[in-house]
Amino acid sequence: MGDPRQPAIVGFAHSPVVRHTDVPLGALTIQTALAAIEDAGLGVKDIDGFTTGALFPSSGGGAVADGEHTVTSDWLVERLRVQPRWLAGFQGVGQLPGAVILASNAIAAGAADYVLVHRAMYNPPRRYHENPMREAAGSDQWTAPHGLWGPPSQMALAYMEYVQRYGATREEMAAVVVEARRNGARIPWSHWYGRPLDGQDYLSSRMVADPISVLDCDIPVTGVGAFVLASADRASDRPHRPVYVAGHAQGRWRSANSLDFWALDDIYEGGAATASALWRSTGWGPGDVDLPQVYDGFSPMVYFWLEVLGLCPVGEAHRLAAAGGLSTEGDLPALSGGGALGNGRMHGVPQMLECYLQLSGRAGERQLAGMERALACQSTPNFGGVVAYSSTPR
Amino acid sequence: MVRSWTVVHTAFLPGFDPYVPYVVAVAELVEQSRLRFTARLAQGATPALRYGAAVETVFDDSGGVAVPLLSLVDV
Repeated sequence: MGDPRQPAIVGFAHSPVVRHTDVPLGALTIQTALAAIEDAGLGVKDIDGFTTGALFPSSGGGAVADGEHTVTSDWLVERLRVQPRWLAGFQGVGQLPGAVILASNAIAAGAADYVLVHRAMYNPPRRYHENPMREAAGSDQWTAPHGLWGPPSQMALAYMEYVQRYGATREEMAAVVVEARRNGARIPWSHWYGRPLDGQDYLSSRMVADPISVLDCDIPVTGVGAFVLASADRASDRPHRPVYVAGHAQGRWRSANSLDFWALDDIYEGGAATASALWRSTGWGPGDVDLPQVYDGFSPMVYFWLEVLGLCPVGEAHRLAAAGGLSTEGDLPALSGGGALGNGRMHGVPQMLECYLQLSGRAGERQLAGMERALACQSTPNFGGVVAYSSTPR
Repeated sequence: MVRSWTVVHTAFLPGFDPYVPYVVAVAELVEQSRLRFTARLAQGATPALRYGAAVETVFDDSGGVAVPLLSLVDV
């Protein structure tokens, strides 16, 4: 063995993904956390580290209650009645990679041996991005008085810029969304289980902020994913084959533009910085990746991630998708886990889980051959994060 | 000049429902590349709206507050 403190995933659990649930989110999180710990062949008392990225995604709602609309690690350890050696929360976006990076660093430093990383997502009963504001102050004054509000229209501005520069079409994007839903339909806990989509469904879907239609957006859901990470020396004793954290990077690009305004150049310049940090961290290049699970909370992010990671030339991802290049049977199975479009708005859980399932050989009938190196991306390349996974230790 | 736009069909803010669908455009200053701002487009969705089209600022006073709009120069 190389590095005994290299972090590795040793178990997982996933709740059903539903629109709304009668089970309180906190209870669902406890159940899922306990199931993940059991999956790793461990007991609650073995877990000496906890972390999550708990940032509540919806704006315009009422006060956020811990255990109801979000679940922090502090809330969870109190209910599990444990006192871990190490506990932390990730504050920003790219919540799941952020939490995994915290956990990885804690394990590498010896601050914890077994860390539970969870992500609890809540779908509010009202519209996700509804905002009752009557006056706009601060940075909102540049967007809200013009009727520009919420991620769908922000993403539409970046996507339209891509469409105009590179000649991308709606028919090409249909291939992305259909592939995500085809794969998500095969995942039992997915909101879309058994419900694939055809291209005509996509092309006739309702526009929210043209060119973003309702099917370009992941559907808001309630659900929980949980993973147990351990140091490599302990991981090898677990019941399932470990999947090792091989590197990571976070997008912390600073632009002169408001955070509420997404310009394509910001995404690509910030994304280039994220990608070079990833290759420095892993020692890999784009050609070394078998399973790039790109983020797809909005469908155009698939193009952005593929291109900033150098998996295809800038401006070409739409052609690659239309030619079937992202198919699970092809060279670049970027949507094999269904992503957010194929599972529901689980904020990076589908990407991380697919890396784990394929590299540990636990994907069942969806298992792909020869998967050794994978990437799990979340959020945009300039703000979000990416974690690299390997089937073998360093 | 116009760098991007979206046709908003669902406004998530109060007061905008009577305007849907409306166009929010991104303008970049000719005098300073990458300096951009967003505003509604006076003409709405029109075939004349193209990447790189020239726009100027006009003001809509109809709501009792002056709101800047972008307006296509060559229509």
